[in-house]
Amino acid sequence: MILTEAQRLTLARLANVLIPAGNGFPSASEAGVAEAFLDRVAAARPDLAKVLPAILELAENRDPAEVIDELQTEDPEAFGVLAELVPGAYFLNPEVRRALRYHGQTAQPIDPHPDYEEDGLLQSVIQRGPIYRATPTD
Amino acid sequence: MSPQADPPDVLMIGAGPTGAVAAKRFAEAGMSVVVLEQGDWPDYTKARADHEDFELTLGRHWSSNPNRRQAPADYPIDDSDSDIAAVLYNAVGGGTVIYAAHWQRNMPSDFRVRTLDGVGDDWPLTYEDLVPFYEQVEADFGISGLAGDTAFPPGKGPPLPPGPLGPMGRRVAAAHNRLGWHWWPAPNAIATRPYGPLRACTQRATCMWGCVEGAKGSVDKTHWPALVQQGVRLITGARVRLLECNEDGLVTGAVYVDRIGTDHFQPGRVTVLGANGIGTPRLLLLSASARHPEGLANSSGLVGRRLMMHPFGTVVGLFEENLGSSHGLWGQHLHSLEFYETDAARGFVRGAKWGLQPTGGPLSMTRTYPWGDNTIWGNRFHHELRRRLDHSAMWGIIAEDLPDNDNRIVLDPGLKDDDGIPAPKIIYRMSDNSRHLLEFHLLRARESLEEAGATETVIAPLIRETGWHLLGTAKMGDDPATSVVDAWGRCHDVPNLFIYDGSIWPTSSGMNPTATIAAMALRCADHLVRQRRLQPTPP
Repeated sequence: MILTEAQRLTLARLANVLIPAGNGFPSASEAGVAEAFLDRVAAARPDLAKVLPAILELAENRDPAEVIDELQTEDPEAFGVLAELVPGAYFLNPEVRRALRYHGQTAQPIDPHPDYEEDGLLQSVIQRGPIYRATPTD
Repeated sequence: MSPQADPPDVLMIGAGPTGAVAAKRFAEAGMSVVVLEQGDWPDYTKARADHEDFELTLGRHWSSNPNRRQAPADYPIDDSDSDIAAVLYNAVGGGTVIYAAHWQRNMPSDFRVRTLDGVGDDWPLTYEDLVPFYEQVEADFGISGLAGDTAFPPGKGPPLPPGPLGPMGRRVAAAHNRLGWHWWPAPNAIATRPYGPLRACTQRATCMWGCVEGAKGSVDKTHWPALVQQGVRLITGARVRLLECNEDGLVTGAVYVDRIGTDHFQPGRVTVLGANGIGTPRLLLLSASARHPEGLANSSGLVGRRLMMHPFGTVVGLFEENLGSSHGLWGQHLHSLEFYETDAARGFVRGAKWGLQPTGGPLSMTRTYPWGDNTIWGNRFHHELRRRLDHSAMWGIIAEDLPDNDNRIVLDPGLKDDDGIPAPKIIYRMSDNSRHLLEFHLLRARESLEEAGATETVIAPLIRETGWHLLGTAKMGDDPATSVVDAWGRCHDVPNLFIYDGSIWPTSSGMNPTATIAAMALRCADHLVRQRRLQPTPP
């Protein structure tokens, strides 16, 4: 994505308001949200990325926390773009994924063992009997 | 306009589940079938479930809202005067491409709402009439589930075993046993083992955004490839804009516009509509003529009216235990019909079905839906993320919507699609009954999750883009003055025009509708096959 250094810096400051460092996790900017991962996100969601320059222009040289507050209350659509792109980029970082123990929507084949049979779970339901109203007869 | 071809026995409009099921029955009977579908085959190269950017991209190519998706096959829908935005998919496979595959039969009372609860209308058939057709479509779609559900009359179960309850399902099941509430391993159109063209599900929880495994029973997989091979002629990129009639009052065929803007006339001896609860009334209204000034098949004035969309709610519970709930069947792991039947003491009639679902990956933990005002941003981000990811379970609640003549589809006076055809407009207000019903169910679902050990519950705000179930806009009934089609989907006014999709439902039930849409399509098609020698057709 073609953004100037100044625009990327503005984005990094906004992103850090949303995702600061903490609990052993990096902040958004430390995780590269305004750098390489932004470019990947922009390639994946050009429909959202095209709105970004206007948001960054609004935020230029302003307190990022104030801008975030303002967007949340006055322009939820623009805030929604940031709220999708920033964590979207953050969770592409392999170190973040590793720390979360999240490896994507990986394949987890179904265990054929019927766990609904455990502990007599279904028996309780069956013992309570039918709960439907039958078709009325004329 | 291109020259006229020989008419097939059946001209179908729409290649969604209705068209697939009906075309299969017609083809099995040796009838010739041409199907017009405005979309194309789904492009699974855009399915990203096995990529790192899956969660980020799902809203782009697999958005269920045509107004957001704006794909070439989509038509715009004016929803500015509606409490709920309609969602649908225009492609071979129709709504089954993006549905969550909750495969719910209606219950017996759903067919006798007027008799039992004094509201709405009875259907001109019973649950028992539909059972053999449910059984057949369940075999055809590769349904997984378990026989013996106490919310339904005894009978044959689906062909595949249910998916696992998983840790969240077992927790909730045990909680419901303590509460004395119903639950049952959920029925899904998701193959839990290899089945015909379907592969076994791998629990990626990505069912609604392009199933990369090919495990979901969507009709672009279960029906259309085989039907095309058998000789059913499926024409994609064909947007029907008009049904034409002759002087005898019979439909002669459909005018459609192809993707380069050329008009074609496709004749048919009979015409069957399976274009969903918006597309079908839109087409009938577009087909107004001097002979049918209010729209085709509309002497009752009910075409487009009685729209029902199932207001939808969710409740999420957060648990100390790692439930692995970023994965699973989405789909549903179990369902509850404890509060489905009417209890007058609650202050409303009818009920809702609950389906227990996973909650997805990390990006899904940050979104306003289903987390509402419980924003995650700032200093609490990492703590909240840990609390939610893999530690949350969600009830999805389908609320029965009652018919109301004022809730309707009309042709928009200004908005048009890419071909210059008037777009549909939805006029819909959620009724007080639906609001009270949903409020009650959300609170009971909260109790369910609290009993299961949730340390916190979140009731999602009602969101607009949940109109998956488009029902009622061409009502079925015996009286031509108060219905559009008869008990076999035949239009009272036009004896060789049939409607088989969810438009014909007299009431909406509180279930995900595809199972009953499919069973009804098969029942209607089977009747046409059996009666075809008596069927009037154009010369």
